[in-house]
Amino acid sequence: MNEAIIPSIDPIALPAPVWLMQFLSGLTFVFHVIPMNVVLGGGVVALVLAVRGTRGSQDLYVRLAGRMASVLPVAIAMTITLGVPLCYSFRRCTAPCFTHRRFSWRGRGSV
Amino acid sequence: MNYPFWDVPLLGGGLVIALIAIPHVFVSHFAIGGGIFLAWTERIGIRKGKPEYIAFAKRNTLFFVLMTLVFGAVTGVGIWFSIGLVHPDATSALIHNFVFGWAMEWVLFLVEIAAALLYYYGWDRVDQKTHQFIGWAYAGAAWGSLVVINGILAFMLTPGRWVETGGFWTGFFNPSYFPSVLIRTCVCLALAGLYALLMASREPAGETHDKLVRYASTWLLPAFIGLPIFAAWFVFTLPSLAQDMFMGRAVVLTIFAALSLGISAIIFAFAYLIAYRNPQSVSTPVALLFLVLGLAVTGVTEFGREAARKPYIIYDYMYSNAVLKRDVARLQQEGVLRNAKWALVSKATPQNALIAGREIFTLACAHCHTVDGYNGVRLLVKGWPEPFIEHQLTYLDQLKGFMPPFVGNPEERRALAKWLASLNPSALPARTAAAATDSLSADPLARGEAAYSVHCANCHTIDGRNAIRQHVKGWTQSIAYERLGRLESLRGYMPPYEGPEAERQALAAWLASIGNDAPAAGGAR
Repeated sequence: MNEAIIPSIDPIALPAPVWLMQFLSGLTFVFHVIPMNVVLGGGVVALVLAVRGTRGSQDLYVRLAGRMASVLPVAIAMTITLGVPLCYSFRRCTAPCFTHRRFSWRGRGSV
Repeated sequence: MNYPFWDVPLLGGGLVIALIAIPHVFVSHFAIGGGIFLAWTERIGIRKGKPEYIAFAKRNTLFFVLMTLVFGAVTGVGIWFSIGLVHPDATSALIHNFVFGWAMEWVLFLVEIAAALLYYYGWDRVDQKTHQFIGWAYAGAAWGSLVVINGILAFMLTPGRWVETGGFWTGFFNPSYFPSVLIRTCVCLALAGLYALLMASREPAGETHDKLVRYASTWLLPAFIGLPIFAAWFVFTLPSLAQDMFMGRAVVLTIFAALSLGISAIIFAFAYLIAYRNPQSVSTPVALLFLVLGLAVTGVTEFGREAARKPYIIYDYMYSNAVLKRDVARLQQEGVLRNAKWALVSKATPQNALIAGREIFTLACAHCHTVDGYNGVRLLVKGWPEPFIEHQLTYLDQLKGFMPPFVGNPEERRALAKWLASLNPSALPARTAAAATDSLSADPLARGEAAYSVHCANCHTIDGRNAIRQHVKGWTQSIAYERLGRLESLRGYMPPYEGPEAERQALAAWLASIGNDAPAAGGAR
């Protein structure tokens, strides 16, 4: 690995210890992937059910597909919103900071 | 200096952010105002026994909820992607400070989204009291997210004492925090009112149409009263350079501020004179036009607010090119190339000047300038000879108050000037131009005037702005000759004169001639 291109440590200290930032990143990531799987997997299953049900005139399949689809708007909204923390904590507060254990609960601390 | 540069040809990264952020800001204000509008309208319907108000709130729920959940959320994520690519250093600084601010905002988002969905699906399914409670939870959480994010947005323009203390709350409750919250709240209500006007205008003509149009127009009243007061308070909290820029130091900003005021005034006049006094005359196209004007005001105002931050991205801490204010002196000694992790060359030399110049441009200038597109530098330096460019770079922050100082060392400044001069190869270099005039005319005054047009006319006119005649009044040729030799000591921001000897004599003769001429006689030259 070329160390020259690793970003140098941000002069502003983390507002919490690294372990807590990593824990929160992991936790919010799990929150995000649960509804995400409902959207992805549920969407595919509902589509297959709808197609097969319509072709084979199986009313039960079509009804099940309809019910699954009705959950999707809520699941999509939750996937996006629960994914928002990935935008800030996961990307920035952990990766360049593995080497960086200084933190201050109050803010920047010594710079 | 830490990250590779994301080059967006023609548009430039800043415009990419603006194209995503301005619709987001418009829609999010609109969605926050919408939450309050729905809850309040339902309340009036219940309290005063007006079923048409309840029906109106119900009809508009889906749109506001979709706006919040889909457009607001997706463009919000888009802002994260774009700022992370365009300004990784500033994004990192903000996150290191405010990660828990964003966490608070996120909790409010979750409440908002859950409440919005319950509110939408709950119409006619839950009892009125519960539904009202959900509505207020939706409105409160939406407004709360504004209260939180505003702390971070206002911080970038007026970090206040944070620059010394670095504390979270010092940065959060910064000098422009409260006027900004109040301005944004007024804007939320006004935008919700404009949308409600559009929806009310679609009602069939009659009493309900007029009642709803008049009701919608009253939502612009808080903005009408509050905005002038809060805007004045806001401007009062700005750093003096930003105030100067609004007042005319940066003409574009002054125009934007004037547009923001002018269009707002038109909207308010419309709301009162037409919608409130003559509701029956409000048709859908007219209401739509004013909603679009609302978008235009959001656009120019947000653009102006962002531009007022120049030359910083975080005021008094980080310049718009991601250089920390406290690093400038060190970088001017060590050079930017040596400190940049992704530069192709690590040092500027006369041999690699063009490559190094291009790299320095990327590091020091390209956060705001493209080469050929938005704020394109090729046009900005057109006709500028290399020594003149180098001089401009030396005094960049003094000559152009909204630009940061040049952060490289002298070799890098030379390389950048060479590269910038190479962008317009057809322009004649200064000395060649002067030499060409030598062969054209033997008249020393004509040669002097030609030299004036090459060396001085970038900044001076003869009798108009920064009139040269006023400056040289009463000069003899020998005085002019002597002063041409030390222009930089006359005024710190003037470039040294570097033309050949004969040309200097001719220019001195011409200056002496206009300095002792009456404007009418000499003006023809």
